[in-house]
Amino acid sequence: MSSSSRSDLWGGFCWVAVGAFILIESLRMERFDNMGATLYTYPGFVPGVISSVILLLGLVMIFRGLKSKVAVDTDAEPLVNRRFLISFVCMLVFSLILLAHAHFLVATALFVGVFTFLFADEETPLLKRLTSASINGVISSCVVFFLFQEVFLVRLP
Amino acid sequence: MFDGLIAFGHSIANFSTPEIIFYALLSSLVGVIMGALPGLTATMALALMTTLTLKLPPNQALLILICTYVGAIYGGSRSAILLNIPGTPASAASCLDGYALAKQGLAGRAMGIATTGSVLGTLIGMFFLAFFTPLLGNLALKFGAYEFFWLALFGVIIAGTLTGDDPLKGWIAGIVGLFIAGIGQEPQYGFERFSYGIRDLAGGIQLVPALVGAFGFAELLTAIKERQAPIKISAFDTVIPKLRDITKYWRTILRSGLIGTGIGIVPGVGEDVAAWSSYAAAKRASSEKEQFGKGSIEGLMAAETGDNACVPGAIIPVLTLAIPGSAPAAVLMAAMIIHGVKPGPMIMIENPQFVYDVVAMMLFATIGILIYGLVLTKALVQVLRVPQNFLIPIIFVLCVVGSFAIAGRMFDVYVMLIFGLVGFGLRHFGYPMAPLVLGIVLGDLLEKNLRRALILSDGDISPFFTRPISGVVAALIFGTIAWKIWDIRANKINKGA
Repeated sequence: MSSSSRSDLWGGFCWVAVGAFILIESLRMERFDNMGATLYTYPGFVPGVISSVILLLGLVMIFRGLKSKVAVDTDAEPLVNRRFLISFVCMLVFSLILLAHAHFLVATALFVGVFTFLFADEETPLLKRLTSASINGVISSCVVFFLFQEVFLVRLP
Repeated sequence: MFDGLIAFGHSIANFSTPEIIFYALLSSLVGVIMGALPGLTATMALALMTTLTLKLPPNQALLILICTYVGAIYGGSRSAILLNIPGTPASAASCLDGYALAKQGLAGRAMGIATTGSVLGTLIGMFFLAFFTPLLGNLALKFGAYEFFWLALFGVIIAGTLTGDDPLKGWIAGIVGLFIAGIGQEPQYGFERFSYGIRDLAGGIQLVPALVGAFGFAELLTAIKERQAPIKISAFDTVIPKLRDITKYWRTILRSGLIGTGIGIVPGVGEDVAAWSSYAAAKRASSEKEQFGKGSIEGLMAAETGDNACVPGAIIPVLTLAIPGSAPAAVLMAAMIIHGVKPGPMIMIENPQFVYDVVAMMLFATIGILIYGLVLTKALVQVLRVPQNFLIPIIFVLCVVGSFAIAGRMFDVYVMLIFGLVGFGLRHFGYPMAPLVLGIVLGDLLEKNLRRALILSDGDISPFFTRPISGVVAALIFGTIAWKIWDIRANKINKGA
């Protein structure tokens, strides 16, 4: 079985599950019959219709996955790699932890600096990497702070 | 006709202050830079700029957004020509001949052609924006719930059909977008749907954090996953365009401008389709077909004219129907609503001057890209040399701050992160983001009008098909679906053979 038909099969099953879940939740919703509601004014009516379409399209995808014999792509790119994981962790730490516990300027300078350093060209000398990352962190955090807070009067986290 | 010209003159006069000209030039520059940087799209630029301009007066904020939009679509051509990497999806067609010209040592001439095409394309689109918006606005007054329901669905289906490689995945993305729009309190009884006791979710999912996540954060994750190749920028000659190139290809310019604007008007299609369609039409009509793909001036001119003409075109349905013509136009529409402008059929009655304000904003943006294209090209291409590891963390900070700024709550940052992660996964598996965004934007319109129409007809669905405009749009939707199914089956048979 080719990877594209496998991905269609898995994708199709996921959409059928999503569609079925939304459909069940839509059917369980309050109907307000005592307030004169009709089928078309039930809160679950439109989500119910939408979920039915998702379910149907999911079934079509499963059917296509079962029928498909084309596109053999065994070297499919993995969803995540090391670079992705490191950057994602850095981003989560910044937005969920640093911003909650440190001043915006400090949190941003730290995040930008560390990120720039971690993903710098490995052939660059360590001191140069460290210096350029620190400068990028400090300058960008000051510019973002000034731009949002002072020029555009937007609240910062 | 003359009323329109007078209104346009008023708009130009109102905008001709040093402060507004400064904003226009600065935001065009931001747009050009963001468009030129591979991985950053016009939609992302607009979503970020929407959050930055929240506290500005509506006219200034929307001027900034329109200048960013025009600048970003134009800016994509820089990296397409110099690096063979489209800065935005709209510039993919420009790679074919733009990079071929650069390899022949004619990168400067190619950038001059791109500037000329983009400026003329925007001007052609601008003319139709001024001319067609009042006409379409009057026509839209005849639309009822049935027509608006079909139009909302049409936007999602067309975006799903044309913006990805697989229509089935495009349609799923669009329908999921429609579902997301329904999360939170429903309009009739205030019943909380799918909020599961989460107070912040009761108000629904804010559009801008969702867009910043789906387009901004997801694009950053995609970009960081792949190690950036060393940047090698081709040397270039003069960027001043030759008058001969304009006079020789005036038919191509006009045709591409018309195609670009026309595609812009169709809900949900967008600039990339406009560029490819203009390119294909130019190739069919050209006497130098063999040059296409090998450094054709005409091909590059067609692609650049088409994608920039699409920008004003995509704003026409935003203003008259409240249905965006492309993904960046969807963000622009959201920004208009945030700033208290009510796009839709009533705009020509309630706020006709605004339409001409938008045309004037387009003109300022055009002047901006002309200046940057002719004068600052050498300085601007240096931005392409900035390493990815310097830019990505700064853009992520802007995504976080921008999402927070909408309502001053961390919940929107979480929404951005979740949409970014889900968007990244969906992209990886080939699901396009444009239909998802259009689904989120159009979900409310679709639900309200579906319910209203069914209540009016007491559950009878025949008016959806028997009313003239409604019937035509319904036929277009079913025709599109049937055409795609037939197309896929035909391709399968051919592959099998």
